[in-house]
Amino acid sequence: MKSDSLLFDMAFLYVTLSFLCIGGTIPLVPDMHRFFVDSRGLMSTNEFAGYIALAQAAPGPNILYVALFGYHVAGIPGALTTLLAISAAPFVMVILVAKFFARVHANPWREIILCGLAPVTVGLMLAGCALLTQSFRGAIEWAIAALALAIFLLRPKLHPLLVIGAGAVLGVGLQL
Amino acid sequence: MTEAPDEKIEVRPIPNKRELFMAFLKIGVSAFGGALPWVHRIIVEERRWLHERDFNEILTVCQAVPGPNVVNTSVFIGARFRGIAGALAAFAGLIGGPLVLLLVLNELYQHFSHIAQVKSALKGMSVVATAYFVAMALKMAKPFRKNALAVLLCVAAACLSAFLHWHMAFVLLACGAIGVALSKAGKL
Repeated sequence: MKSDSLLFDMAFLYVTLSFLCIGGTIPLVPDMHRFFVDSRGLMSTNEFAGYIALAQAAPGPNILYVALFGYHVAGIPGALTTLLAISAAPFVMVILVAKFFARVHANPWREIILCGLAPVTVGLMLAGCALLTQSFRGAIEWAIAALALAIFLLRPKLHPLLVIGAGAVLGVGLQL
Repeated sequence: MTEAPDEKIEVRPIPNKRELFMAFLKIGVSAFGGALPWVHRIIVEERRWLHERDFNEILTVCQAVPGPNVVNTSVFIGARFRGIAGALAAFAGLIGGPLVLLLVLNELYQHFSHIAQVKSALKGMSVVATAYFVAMALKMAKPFRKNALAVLLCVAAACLSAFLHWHMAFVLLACGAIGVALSKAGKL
């Protein structure tokens, strides 16, 4: 019974948060921390941060860290609850937007608006990258990132997983 | 990485639900450190289901809709080709594979996280993955990189968000309004 109401509370938390996450979920992390650590005491801050780091290191969308929170609290049903709760409302909204978008295909404003927003989209992505670099602790990390960027831009045929694998080897070699 | 198709090359025929699921499953399980560059790689460069422009458009729209960007983008792409069923196929592929992997990795990680080499390897991977993200953003900037106003707008949006910590929604509203006005005036 207790776990049922916990599942419900997690679902409620993530449905609410899903409406607020424009652009990314990272700004919402403090809200999740408040729920899981501060007010419910379901996990420690270390565990909480560890789950985010693990999801970022593992393949797949980074958003999967919410599944790890759910899993920690209530196993597989918990993982599915948090994931589906944060995805449901956006799923419906995107379907509606996609339909609307197909309908205005011939409208000249569509082109004007998208052309005007394209640079902003790229700018926001670069800002997201800047956020990721905050975890860099020293010049070595910056040097590796610069080297990797040069490889990605100059050798586009090289499979990115090879470069990421090389990053893992360098990480161990240089004791990052 | 193959060159993205330009406007002259015809994109491939519309994928079916199974193809959508498989493509997004591949994206899900190979996407280290952020899945968006991998959506771009596999959908635009490898399968050639979308032009570079279409992808940029879809991402622009999906950023403005609440929800995790990469989930929104996948749902949009699925819906565009095969309606709601296509959206579900893309979503299931994107989330399902990596979720199983992650739960397994989680069990392993609880046993091995104290080993310093594991942490170092993860750190090295995440640094390179960040660079991969930047590379994708730069690739998306290609269509407008010769336009000084567009580049300025792009840098302004990045700075407002990264250094002045504006919420994404406000950056999108403020810079977006300027961008649309410039675009209407034919300056972009």
